[in-house]
Amino acid sequence: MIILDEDIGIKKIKEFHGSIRKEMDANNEVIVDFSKVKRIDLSLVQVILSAGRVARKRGKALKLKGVSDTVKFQMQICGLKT
Amino acid sequence: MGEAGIREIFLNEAREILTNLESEIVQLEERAGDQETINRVFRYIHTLKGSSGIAGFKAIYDFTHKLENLFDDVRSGTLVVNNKLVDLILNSIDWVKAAIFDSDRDSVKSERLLQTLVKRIADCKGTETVKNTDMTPVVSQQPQEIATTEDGHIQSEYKYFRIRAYFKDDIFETGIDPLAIIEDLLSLGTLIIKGVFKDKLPELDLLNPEKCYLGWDLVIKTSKPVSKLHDVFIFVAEDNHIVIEDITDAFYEKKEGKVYHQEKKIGEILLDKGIISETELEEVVEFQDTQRSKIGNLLVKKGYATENEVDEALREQEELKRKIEHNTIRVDTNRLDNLLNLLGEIVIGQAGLAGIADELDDEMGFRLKNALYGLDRTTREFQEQIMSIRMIPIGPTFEQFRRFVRDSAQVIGKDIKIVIEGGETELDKTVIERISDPLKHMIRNSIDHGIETPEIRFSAGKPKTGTLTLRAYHQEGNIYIEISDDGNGIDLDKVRKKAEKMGFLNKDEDVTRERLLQFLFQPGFSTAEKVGDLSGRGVGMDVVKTNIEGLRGMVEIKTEKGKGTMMRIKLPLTLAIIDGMLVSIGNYTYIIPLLSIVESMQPKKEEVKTIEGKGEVILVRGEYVSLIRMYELFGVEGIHQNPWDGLVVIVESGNDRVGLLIDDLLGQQQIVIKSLDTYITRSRAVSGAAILGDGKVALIIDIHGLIEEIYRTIKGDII
Repeated sequence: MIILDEDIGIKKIKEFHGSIRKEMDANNEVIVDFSKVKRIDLSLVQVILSAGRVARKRGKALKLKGVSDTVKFQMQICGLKT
Repeated sequence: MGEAGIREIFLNEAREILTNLESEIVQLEERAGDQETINRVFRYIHTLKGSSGIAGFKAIYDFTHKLENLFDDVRSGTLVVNNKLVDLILNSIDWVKAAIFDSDRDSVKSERLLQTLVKRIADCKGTETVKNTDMTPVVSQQPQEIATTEDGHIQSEYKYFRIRAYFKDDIFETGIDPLAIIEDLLSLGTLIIKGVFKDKLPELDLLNPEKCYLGWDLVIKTSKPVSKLHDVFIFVAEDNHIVIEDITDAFYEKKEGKVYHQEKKIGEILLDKGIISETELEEVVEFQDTQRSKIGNLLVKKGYATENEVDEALREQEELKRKIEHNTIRVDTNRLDNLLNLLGEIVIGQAGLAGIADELDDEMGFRLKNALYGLDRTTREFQEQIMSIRMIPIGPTFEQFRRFVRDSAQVIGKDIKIVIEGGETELDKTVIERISDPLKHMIRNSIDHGIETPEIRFSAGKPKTGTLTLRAYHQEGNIYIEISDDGNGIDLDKVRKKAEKMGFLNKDEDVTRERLLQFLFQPGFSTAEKVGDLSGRGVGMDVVKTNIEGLRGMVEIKTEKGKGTMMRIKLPLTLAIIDGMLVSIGNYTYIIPLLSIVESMQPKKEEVKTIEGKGEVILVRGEYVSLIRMYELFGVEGIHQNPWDGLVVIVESGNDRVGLLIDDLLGQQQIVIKSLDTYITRSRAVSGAAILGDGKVALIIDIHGLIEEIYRTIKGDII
């Protein structure tokens, strides 16, 4: 499981990108915990979108946990189905 | 137009509006925050109010005005859609229906009910001013002012803007987050269409997370001036591709149903809304070609869209179809029936002329036949045109069951979702009128006996909500209607035991699964342990079958234990005219529907046998087929008593084939079906009669009924 920091954003996106790639390679189910996150930016949504596509292709599951209504709304704007 | 004309138009409109309203309100209960449905419900109530006022139905105008005010609160987000509100609106619809259509209603009771409803509306408005939190977050909660033009159309004071925003890939380096910009933009109005372009987004391993790949194509509805929209992009407008376009005129026309020239496919709607990308759509379209599956199902299966999104797109598609502009006039259906009867007379006259042509000398006969051939083409086309006018979509009939399913499920504590597919499938209006009751009965059976209670479903690992699917489609000149549920299926052991008990089957007698299921259509046959309020009394499925066969249709059941049951009705496209083969038996002419004929043959003497338990049979390409001596069946004197002297017509119905011994084939022609009085139609072997060219009457053989009759009378058996 990857637990996102409250201040996840462009400055930490490379680190998150690296983590999710490793998790996707190693596990059939990857959980990203958004419990501490109040808002997100586009860079994070892009990584999640791309990871979701990879999960579908490889028959794996990407699960988002603790997503607040605000974050859900932001994701919907970007065409991410939660 | 006179007052009576206006009232007549209103009555027709009101019926349609109330059916739609009922269906929409039940759907709204399932998706409480759906703004599109809320708007549609509001529009229906608004139109009903306006039309009733014009037509002089003052009580209905006053009441629907109150209802409109109540629903305005839902539209503006200050009133929550819940079970109580849905019940109130459904009860209100019932009252309006009775007030318009039920002239025998008890006026005192009606007035009392009206007062109760008015009070409930007032209570609802007074107490439930709770902010709706279930609204989808994409749609903003601004109240919408709706004004009405003189012609009754809803007019919006808002403007529609299309915004295309594509950002440079290094925009993050400037500290700007495009998502925040789009959020700011959406705070200015209501999002109408959302398109998100994700095509440039690479695979996870190739993705540079510090680059921007996404773009947007949006339509928003706002009361703000365009400058406010430009302000949102003030820091990015120069270096990025930002286009803001006022599309109010085009969009208004489209949205309010003034001009629609082409239908949209589900994929296109989902693409327009930004739910799927072009790549995803292309992928499933390609996949669809190999799988022959529905695109919506594939999108859900692949995880590109949710079931709700596909359902919403389907509804939009239906709405679009409804709004496609047609030049239409209302015609009394009796006039259409008269037109069809007149066409029938022309067909009979043509057959008479064809008979005369046979009696003329070669040259004259040939010339007349040639002329008749041309006339025949025209009358066939004429017939198709009239039939197409009589065809109406089954959608509204399906839709009216939404309320029925909801109410029935509620009574017995079940949770059931209804899914409608193929509502655009068109059927002859007579078929639609007569299919409604059998459908209702089958739906009732599924609700009562098929779908389990939420607790049982949960313990069986199924979703608590059961699904009842109504589906219609055309296939090979027939119409199919399926009623399927994902319930517990039919217990075939119980059916067998009951059949044995009722004496239809001997103990240990071999019987196919299909045959066993046919026992369910026997009068008094029910395997239900409890007699429910809805069904289980063993009364009905036999009537269902008789009704469907009365429409020259068939019904079959497929079931799987634990997984569900599907009842499929097969119906002919039209009830009025068929292609028939004229055959002679003795001095009489009979008609066999051409669609039922497989072949005709003259068997050899050694191919005719009698097999114990099967009766007389003939060998047709290594397979024994029961032989029916038609002269015996109809009690007439046939010319040929031996099959090897006469002709045998092999006919089929479902999986059954039989051979009919006749004297001769007289030729094929279009047959106008005339119904017979009940004392003749007691025999299921006859479905009607036709007047031939020479004025004689010929009976039309009902192959399905005949096979059943034969099993019953000759073999003492039941299929």
